[in-house]
Amino acid sequence: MRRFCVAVISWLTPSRDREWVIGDTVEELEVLEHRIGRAAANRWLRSEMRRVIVQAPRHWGSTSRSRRPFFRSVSADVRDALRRLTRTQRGTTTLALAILALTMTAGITTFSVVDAVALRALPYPGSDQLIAIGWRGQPGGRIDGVTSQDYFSWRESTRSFSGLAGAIPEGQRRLESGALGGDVTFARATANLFDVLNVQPALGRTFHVDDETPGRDNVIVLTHDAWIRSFGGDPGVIGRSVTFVRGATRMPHVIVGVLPAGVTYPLRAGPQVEAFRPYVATPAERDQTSRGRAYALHAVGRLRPGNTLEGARAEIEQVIASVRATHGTVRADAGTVVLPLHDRVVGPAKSWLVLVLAAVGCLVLVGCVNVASLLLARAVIRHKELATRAALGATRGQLARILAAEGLAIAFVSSAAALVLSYWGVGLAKAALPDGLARTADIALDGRVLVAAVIAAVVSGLLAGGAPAWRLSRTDLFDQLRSGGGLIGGQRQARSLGAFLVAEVAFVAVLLVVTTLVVASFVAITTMDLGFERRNVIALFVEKSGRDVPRDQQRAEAAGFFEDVLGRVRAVPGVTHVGLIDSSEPLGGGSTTYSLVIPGIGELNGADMFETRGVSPEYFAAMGLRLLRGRTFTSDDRAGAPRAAIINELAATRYFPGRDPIGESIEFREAPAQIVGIVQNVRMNGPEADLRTELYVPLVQWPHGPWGRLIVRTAGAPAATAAAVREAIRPALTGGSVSEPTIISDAFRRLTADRRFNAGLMTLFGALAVVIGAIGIYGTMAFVVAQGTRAIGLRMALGATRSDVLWSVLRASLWRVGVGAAVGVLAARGLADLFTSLVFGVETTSLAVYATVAACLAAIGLGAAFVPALRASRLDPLAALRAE
Amino acid sequence: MPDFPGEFEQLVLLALLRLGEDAYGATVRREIEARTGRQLSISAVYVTLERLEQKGLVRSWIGEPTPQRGGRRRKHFALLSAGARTLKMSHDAYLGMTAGLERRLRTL
Repeated sequence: MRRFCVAVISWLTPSRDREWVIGDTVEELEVLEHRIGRAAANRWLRSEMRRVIVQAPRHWGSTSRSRRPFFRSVSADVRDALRRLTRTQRGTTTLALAILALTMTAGITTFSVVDAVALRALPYPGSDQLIAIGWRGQPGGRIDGVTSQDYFSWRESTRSFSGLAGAIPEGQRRLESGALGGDVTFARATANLFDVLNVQPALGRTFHVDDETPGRDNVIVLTHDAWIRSFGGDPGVIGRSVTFVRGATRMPHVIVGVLPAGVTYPLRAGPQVEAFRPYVATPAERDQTSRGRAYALHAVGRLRPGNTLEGARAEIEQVIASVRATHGTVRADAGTVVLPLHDRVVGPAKSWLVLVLAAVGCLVLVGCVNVASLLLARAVIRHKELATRAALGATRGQLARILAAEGLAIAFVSSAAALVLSYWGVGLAKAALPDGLARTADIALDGRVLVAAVIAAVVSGLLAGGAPAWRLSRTDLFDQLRSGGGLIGGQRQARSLGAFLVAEVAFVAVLLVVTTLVVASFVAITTMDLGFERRNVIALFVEKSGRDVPRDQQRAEAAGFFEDVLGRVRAVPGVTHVGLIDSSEPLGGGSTTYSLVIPGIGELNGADMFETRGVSPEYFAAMGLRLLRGRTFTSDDRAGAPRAAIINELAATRYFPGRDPIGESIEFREAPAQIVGIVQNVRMNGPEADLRTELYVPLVQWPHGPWGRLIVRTAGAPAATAAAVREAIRPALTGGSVSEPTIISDAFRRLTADRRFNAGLMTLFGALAVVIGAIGIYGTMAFVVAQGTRAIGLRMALGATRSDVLWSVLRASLWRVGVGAAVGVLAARGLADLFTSLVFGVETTSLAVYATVAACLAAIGLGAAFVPALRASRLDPLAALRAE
Repeated sequence: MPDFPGEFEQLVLLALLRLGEDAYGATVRREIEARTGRQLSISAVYVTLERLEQKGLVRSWIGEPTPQRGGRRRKHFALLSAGARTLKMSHDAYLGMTAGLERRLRTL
């Protein structure tokens, strides 16, 4: 709040006095805080800001002598304008102010968010040369880190990069150092990370190659944030010994450097990395034949000058191929992606953020056009006043200035309001943004945005005021005065108002089409049949003991452990079914695929591999997965019994067309298995994942060891049962663990959070646009009717019925709205192809969407014009004829 | 004969007289607020001080940056002899006009 007030004061103070005024303000604030306390000092600051706002015109007006007359007369004009605006037609003024302020707030807030998250360059010098390498488990899926083995193979064999660095986020750790320190989010980084990012430390040093030597790796580089928060910004922190605490382990470390403000890596969703330790790879992490692999390393390289992204990509592919040739296939399939670091950080969010920005741009245009037409209508109604002024000697320039000053006054007041509103808007947006966006911490009201917004407001104010002024200067004002009414001139103005209306409706139409597509996509996604019932299910990972037990023993223990755990969970009140699965949880984003052999077709590899899950018999009931034919597994499908398999519908139709797969034998992991059932297709990774061929096998026939993921179906709210389930399992574990339960319906909400947020925001924008558009239509038609009063009276006197009059007004409205809607819908159709990737389950070409929007607008056109139309039809012809 | 200063200008001139060496925006504002109870903004003080400077009644100079102001400099002001004369003139006028009315003014 303080920074905001000081910023406002600074902004409103002429630059020649800014230094001392702000200096005095800061000093005074200190003095007051000592004397009367922080809260009272803050109150003083707020009232000081209010006084400065009031005082500002005088302060600016008192600039050096040569500029004084101009400034004084402008400020006098604006003051007069404010007085006029507040005295006459208060409704119109308030409306114009509210519309401008609201649309500007929406614009400023949205731009601040989109700029920080998606548009702004990364905080590293030369960041356009930074390339990220990631791993994508499935097409279109999330990009994860790469394995350390891959990283080292690339680092040794590529030449495209002047440096290739890596970092592995390691989570929250504790730093202790006397009274200082605290919980800090760590990452381990290769020593060259900061060279690759081209980041110089603010204090001390970053890592040396020596720091990667085991035993000498106990050094820490802090980010600026962590330095301020945990060490009070003490410059003496360099060289300080701290204790690094991880669980029960305590290790002495030394702080060697502090990064500049705003710099960290990797930039990712969730908590930012606040401190770094050197990454010292174990021999296994470097071993290309190692089977244990973690996809956790964020790899970033800086392109050597003259090299391209494509070149680097080709080189990486080459290295992967040669590693595979030497060491055999360690990984199932290729999923390595090479892309600019900025794309990696912003990811898929960019396209929808840009869409939101475009939408808000549309909304701002609607608002501006609306305000312009309101002001134009005002100007027409004041024709006589202006003509009188002209008769008394005002030049056309002065008249134009009067009108422009009104536009300016509205612009100033509304931008001040928008400033305050966006201050809160940005805070609100930060809280409401979906998780999974990187750099949200950087979102703030940005000086450039404010300046741009104020300039936009001033320009739109001048245009809105200036357009009528320009029109006026072309009409013969004396004619106006003589004619004693606005009939002729009014109709001419009505034509330009009509043009404004068409433009406004067109923008609203574009916005509504986009909103409809986005909302329809969201509805399609949330109502989509995933193949399983996502409500009232929880998933938790259980593991009997540590993994250092010999593999054979683990396998032997598995069956007994599963039975034990399943029995315990089944006994928990509120649990209706419980199953086990050996792969990742529903909507968790992972998958396990295997190749298999189908007789008559051969071995299915690569993209044809089956998504495979080892499950317990009750898994299908717990997931709510429907059996289409045959049977599910039973307790008879035990180890040693003939191996059974269940496939999904997609696999059945694809590989067994026209025949019954049940009873067929397939080869899975070099052993025959008989297909005993067909279940429905499942979208295990959410509505937007593609359907895959799926294979289920009895878990006890293919045991890995005593661990797995429990799928628990509950009778009531899952949250209530989750804790009881965890407690019930605990006694069955010997040194092992049970994870926090995942409530699947919550996971679904997280998965669709982007779209939910998007749909909500677009609905808000769409609704605002509709309201503003309706106001515009109402205002224009009311104006047309008011200006046409005498003509209407004349027509009624000549025999027109009331319904004739009613319809003629409605027709006039519908006609304009129709043209606007047609233009807008056509434009939207042209633009729709730009965001096909954001649309789901509805075609961007869908006629229904465009027809709905057009019908909607027609209804709004009729509705908003109805009151003025009714008023026209109830005119008393005689009174109307006498009207001026 | 110079113009009489405005009422607020008089307050500012008096504050300068009181503060002597230590006169700048914040202290002038504090002085006036403490003695008259009038709420005013720092920038209003500067507007008036600059006007007085243009009239040749006060002079200003820019001081050194200080840390408690975030490294910003101060602009100091001091009364010139013309300012002192004007102040005396308006005070004399005030005293002249109020002479003999003290008791009635108190009971108003």
